[in-house]
Amino acid sequence: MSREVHLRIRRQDAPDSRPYWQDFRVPWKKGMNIISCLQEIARNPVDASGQRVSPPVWDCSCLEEVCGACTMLINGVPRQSCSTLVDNLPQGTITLEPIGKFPVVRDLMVDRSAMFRALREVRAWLPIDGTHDLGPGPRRPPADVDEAYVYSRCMTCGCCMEACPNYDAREFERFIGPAPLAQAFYFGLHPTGEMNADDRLDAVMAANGITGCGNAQNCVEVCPKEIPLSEAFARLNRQVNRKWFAELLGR
Amino acid sequence: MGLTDRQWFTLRRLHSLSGILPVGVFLANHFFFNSFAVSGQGPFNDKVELLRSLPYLVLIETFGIFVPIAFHAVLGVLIYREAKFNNRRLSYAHNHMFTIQRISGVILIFFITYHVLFTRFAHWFGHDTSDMYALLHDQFRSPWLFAAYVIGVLAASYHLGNGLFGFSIHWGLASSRTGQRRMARVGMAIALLFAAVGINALLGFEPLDGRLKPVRLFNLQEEPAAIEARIPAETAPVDARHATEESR
Repeated sequence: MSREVHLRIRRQDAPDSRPYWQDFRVPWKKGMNIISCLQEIARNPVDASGQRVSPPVWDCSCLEEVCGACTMLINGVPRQSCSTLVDNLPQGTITLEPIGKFPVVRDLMVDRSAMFRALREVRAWLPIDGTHDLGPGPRRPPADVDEAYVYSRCMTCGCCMEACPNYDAREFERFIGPAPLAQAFYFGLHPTGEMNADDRLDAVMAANGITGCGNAQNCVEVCPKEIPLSEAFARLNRQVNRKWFAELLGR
Repeated sequence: MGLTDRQWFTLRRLHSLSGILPVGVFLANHFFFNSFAVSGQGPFNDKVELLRSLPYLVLIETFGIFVPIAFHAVLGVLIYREAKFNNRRLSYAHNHMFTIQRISGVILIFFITYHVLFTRFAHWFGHDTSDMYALLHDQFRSPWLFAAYVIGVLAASYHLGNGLFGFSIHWGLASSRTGQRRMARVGMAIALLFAAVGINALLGFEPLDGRLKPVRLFNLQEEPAAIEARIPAETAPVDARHATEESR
């Protein structure tokens, strides 16, 4: 019983150093995911040619597809390495690469801070002006809550940003990307969040805002949380167009 | 660029709008009128005369056709440059449609420039523009030029059909996934219809020296032979124009 999993990992020692490929073989175990493969390599960092190497670096935290930290390109597709099971992938070598739209820190670990910067830009939060009790929030129909819940599942993993042909974290001034736009929509859905809807829509209407979307809809295809991002964009478009008309012609 | 956020937003919205109105409407009109070529040289040239006699023609051509297309093209190039295609890795239908939309746009910039120079402004190059049917029939003797026109028609049809899908999202008309899927299908159906009508119009010019002929559907006109019998002057179609030209 010596079934093995073949992995080909794109490695990079430092943010500005040249990437290179390394092959690994790890013993197959039932139910193993990409992270358990990487843990196996870290335990015994020997490449396929038998040479001892530095263990590949990767980012992960929750191991249950909630935190969004372990995004990488698995066979070229952006996915969570925790919820990608080896047995569900096609037979043969599995390639692992860091997602390409964000700067590489080392090996499979990237700097996703452009996403958090974008969330700040679209004001994806409910502002509170003090620590005093504001009383209970407004009651909402269950259908609205269910609808908003879908968008609340976003874990800023960056899969949509990676898949979007118009996004690149290095060109932040061009397009802030799909996930932050969907969050701007999400916060506008809430009755309390709606009070600051105008500020959020201003950011959505900025030059790097929603007009950067080209409807390739890769974001919807790759989102591990099945968030209907293209629906959020169409409805955001409705909102910003209304604001645009109001500014041009009056309410 | 020294544009404010709102100015850029307005330009992007005008880009989306201009693709449908007036450019898409113009394209429908253009393909429809060119379909008179299916009825032959006389009917086509008559319609060319009619269009040439439209009131405010220069204004319509300049501000209804040229400026909107040029604006759509210039902004389109900027939009093209935003994209980093990833179709090989992410082989999804909409991703391919996204890429084809941009590529067809670039093809159209080259095609339309050529097309307008050698039809509307063919006289700059010493061509006789009094008989547009004959001019195109002659151009389509070349299989390469005919192929270029087929590609142009296909690119324009696709770009409008898929553009309709984009339009439905940019203007918030189709919001649900199902609704967007429906709009994409409607767009593709419109693209197919435009492609069929557009290519049949090209065939109306009897390309490759008459080796290709159009499909004459629902044609209530008399057979060419009957017309010839009635109007003897039109028996030699290429010369007929000159005859009427002289009699004026």
